[in-house]
Amino acid sequence: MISKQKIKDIAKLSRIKLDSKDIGFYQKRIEKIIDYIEEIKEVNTKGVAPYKGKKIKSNILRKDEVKKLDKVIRKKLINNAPDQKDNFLKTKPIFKNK
Amino acid sequence: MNIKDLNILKTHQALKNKEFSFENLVKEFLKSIDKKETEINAFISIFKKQALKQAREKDKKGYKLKSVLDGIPIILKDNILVKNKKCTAGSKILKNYKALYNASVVEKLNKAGAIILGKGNMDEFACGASGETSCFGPTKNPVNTKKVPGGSSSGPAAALAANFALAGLGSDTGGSIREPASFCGVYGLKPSYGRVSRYGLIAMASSLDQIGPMALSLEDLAIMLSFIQGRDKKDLTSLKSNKINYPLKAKDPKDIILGIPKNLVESKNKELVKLFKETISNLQKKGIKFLKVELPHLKYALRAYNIIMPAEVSANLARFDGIRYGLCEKKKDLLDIYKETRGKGFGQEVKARIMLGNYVLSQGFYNKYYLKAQKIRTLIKQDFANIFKKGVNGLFLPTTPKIAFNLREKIGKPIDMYLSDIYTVPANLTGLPALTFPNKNINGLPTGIQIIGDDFDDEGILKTAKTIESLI
Repeated sequence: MISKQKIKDIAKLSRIKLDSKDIGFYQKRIEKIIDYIEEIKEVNTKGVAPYKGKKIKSNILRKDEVKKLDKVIRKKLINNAPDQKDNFLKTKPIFKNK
Repeated sequence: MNIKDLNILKTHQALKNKEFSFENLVKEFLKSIDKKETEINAFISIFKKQALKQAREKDKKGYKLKSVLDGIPIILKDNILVKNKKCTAGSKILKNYKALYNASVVEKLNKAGAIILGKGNMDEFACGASGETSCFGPTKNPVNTKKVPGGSSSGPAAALAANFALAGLGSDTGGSIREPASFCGVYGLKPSYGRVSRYGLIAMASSLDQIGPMALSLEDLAIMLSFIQGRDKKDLTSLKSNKINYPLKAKDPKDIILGIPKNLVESKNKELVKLFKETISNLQKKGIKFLKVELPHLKYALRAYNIIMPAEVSANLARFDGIRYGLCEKKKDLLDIYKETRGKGFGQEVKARIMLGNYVLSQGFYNKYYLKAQKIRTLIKQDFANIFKKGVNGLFLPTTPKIAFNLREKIGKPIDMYLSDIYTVPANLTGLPALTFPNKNINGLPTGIQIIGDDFDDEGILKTAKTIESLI
């Protein structure tokens, strides 16, 4: 069982606002999947290493340097942001003044 | 010209022989789109003017074809970036987002001279198996418009079946190229992980995602793959790839050994099971050898997938925060901006996967679910390595346990919907190449045969499929 409170907690962790009327829906939904995946516990994985993917033969490196960005691209990049000021992205403060 | 008879190779020959102009070709496809697109809903955007302009420029230059893809009308799934064009991933959160650069695969197709007709509809952020979770409405299956086209690359698959384009690119995380291709009766290939650069693909689950071709023949899959593959310095996971030779050389049936998994979860569709068995016995009579193989951990593949995939989705989709691009719900507090934007911008399926992902990654559950699933993944990979050691050329499977179902039939039945992926996820979990091509129809609806090959043996499974196709 996953409690309604747990769903609210994961929603907050996920930075998703849920309408209170939808909480029951997500509770049932996530519970169904958890019930389904639960069966993996019967697999013996003692001494098995987690999957690491394919070997990457060589790294790709580039110089750590400031590159001049084309003005038009810069403008478009900034214009993609919902809120801007003086050629910068604008956002709310992370810390609050008390 | 009858566009229903065309594929890449035939069109190339016809353009070479001056049977029609580039402009005529593009116009024919646009006409076909005009006629049926309102009903099918395969596209999120169509580049009508640009496509015609490109075609006219090619005509002006004379008929000097620079590659076999020159002038070929194609469709891209709308999670692949094309410079200065909208790229939505089927989501409200990116509804007005314009890409600032080309995906590497787009650069390659442009260089080859292909004409991009538009961007294909898709399940939101590639999360879906029916083509119904797009915020732009569901795509319909051109074979029978009461049915779903499959997902998540629903637009490209439907577009090919409806004669809206000659080829397409999709992305496949758990079957998103192969399942819709099978439902719509076309061809699809999920290349080996690393074979095709994913720079410029909107990521869903990075350890599983792969861009791949969708087309109207096996030859065309090989052609498309040969153009888009290879190491790309903009994608660290991309790998150097051996050349793909086309036309594909069919093999001697006597040289083909295919594996059939012993403990495969059988489809509930009896007709599908019957057809599959008939196909096997028919191919046996023609000389192909079938070997029952043991893959003891295969039955856990879909479970492991439904842990790893949402975990990676939750991480990848964290970037959609309403600050740098896309939808923004303006609020006083930063946390509220995040929560409101994501609450309004994401659809139900995407939200459920993000939340599930954060759940399996959270403290106390990480070892139990995520780490355990990654260990099972290692075991599945070992199972596959063992069967290829026995000389098997590929694993022979149906593409899906279902045929195209009714629109809205599986909504509200998440497990049933997820089961659509049961035969396709093993290739994503292991990074192996897998393709689908049409078998006989059942009740007028297409079915698919899937072959999963050894790592980087993409050409090998294409050749095997070509042989099989000539025998069925």
